[in-house]
Amino acid sequence: MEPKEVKIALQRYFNGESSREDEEVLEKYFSSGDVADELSEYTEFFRGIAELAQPHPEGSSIEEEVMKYIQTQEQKKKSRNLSLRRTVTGIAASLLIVMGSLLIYEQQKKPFEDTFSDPDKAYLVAEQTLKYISGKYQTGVEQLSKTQKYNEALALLDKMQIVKTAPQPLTKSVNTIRKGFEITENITK
Amino acid sequence: MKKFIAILAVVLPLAVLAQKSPVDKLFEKYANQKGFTTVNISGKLLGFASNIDTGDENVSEMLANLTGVRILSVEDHELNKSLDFYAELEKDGFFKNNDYEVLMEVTEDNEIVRFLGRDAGGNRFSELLLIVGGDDNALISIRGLIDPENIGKLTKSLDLNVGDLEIEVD
Repeated sequence: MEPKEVKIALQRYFNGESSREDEEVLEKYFSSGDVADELSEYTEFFRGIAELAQPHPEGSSIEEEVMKYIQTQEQKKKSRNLSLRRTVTGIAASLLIVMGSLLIYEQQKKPFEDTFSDPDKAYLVAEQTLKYISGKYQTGVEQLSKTQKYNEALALLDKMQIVKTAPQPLTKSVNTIRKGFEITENITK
Repeated sequence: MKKFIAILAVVLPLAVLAQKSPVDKLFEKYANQKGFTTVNISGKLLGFASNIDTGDENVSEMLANLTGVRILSVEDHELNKSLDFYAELEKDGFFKNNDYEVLMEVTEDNEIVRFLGRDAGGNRFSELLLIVGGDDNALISIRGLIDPENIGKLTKSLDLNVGDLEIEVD
């Protein structure tokens, strides 16, 4: 094919006026391998077009391919999220199991074991303990009552001081009145 | 996620409930250690003991109402110098958040005994805790239904020191 013819076809192609035949001609020319130097720059372009125009081996279109690609990407994301969720849930579940078993272990563990198996010995120690507590308790109560008595005595003392100080103005005024009476008596004499 | 939160909501309060009190921790910390004497008497054994006819009705009556007696005392003099149960309990936040009521403090020569009680209503206690400090360190806990009046009725034994408790562990 003459480059001149190809050029005309190319011009029509880029002007959007090419016919199906023109396009076939161009595709054939550029895929033939015998391309004029001046036209070599279009070789890659038409090869790409030719490849795209070729039917997909599975018979699917470009749109389908793109959709498939998007779907696989989304699925990948989802599966990544899913695996993360699974990991978190797994950790949480294991934590719960550990906590649960610890809880059961703590509860099953007896708070304390008996030191004695003989009730007589237990009685002796318990009796001594109770008497010791009783002794301290009674001392405490005595101390408290002593403090109470002390407080009562203090309160009483306070009251007495009021009684003592209260008559002072009274006696003063009584004395003044007495003096007054004495003066009037002397005058009348 | 919702399920997880639901399970957590159930488990967490249980975990909080299962937490040990500072007193329990102290008992466990020093139990069966060298220089310490630990005594545990369960309510069951106390029940048997209360049936023993010893002539002291007051003691038997009190024992019958008890569900447990625990004693932790320090025998080693050197240890006694370095230990302070009261300070340890204070450090563990025992006096800030607990349902014990400070009843009284009995101060004697080289000894201070602090009485703490858990109220059970009706002027009775569900637990009486004695923290002995000074020259001797001891923790005494009696649990059950304790009437302070009954304690006062018992023959007092003032001369008895916790360190002198005749304990012959089986």
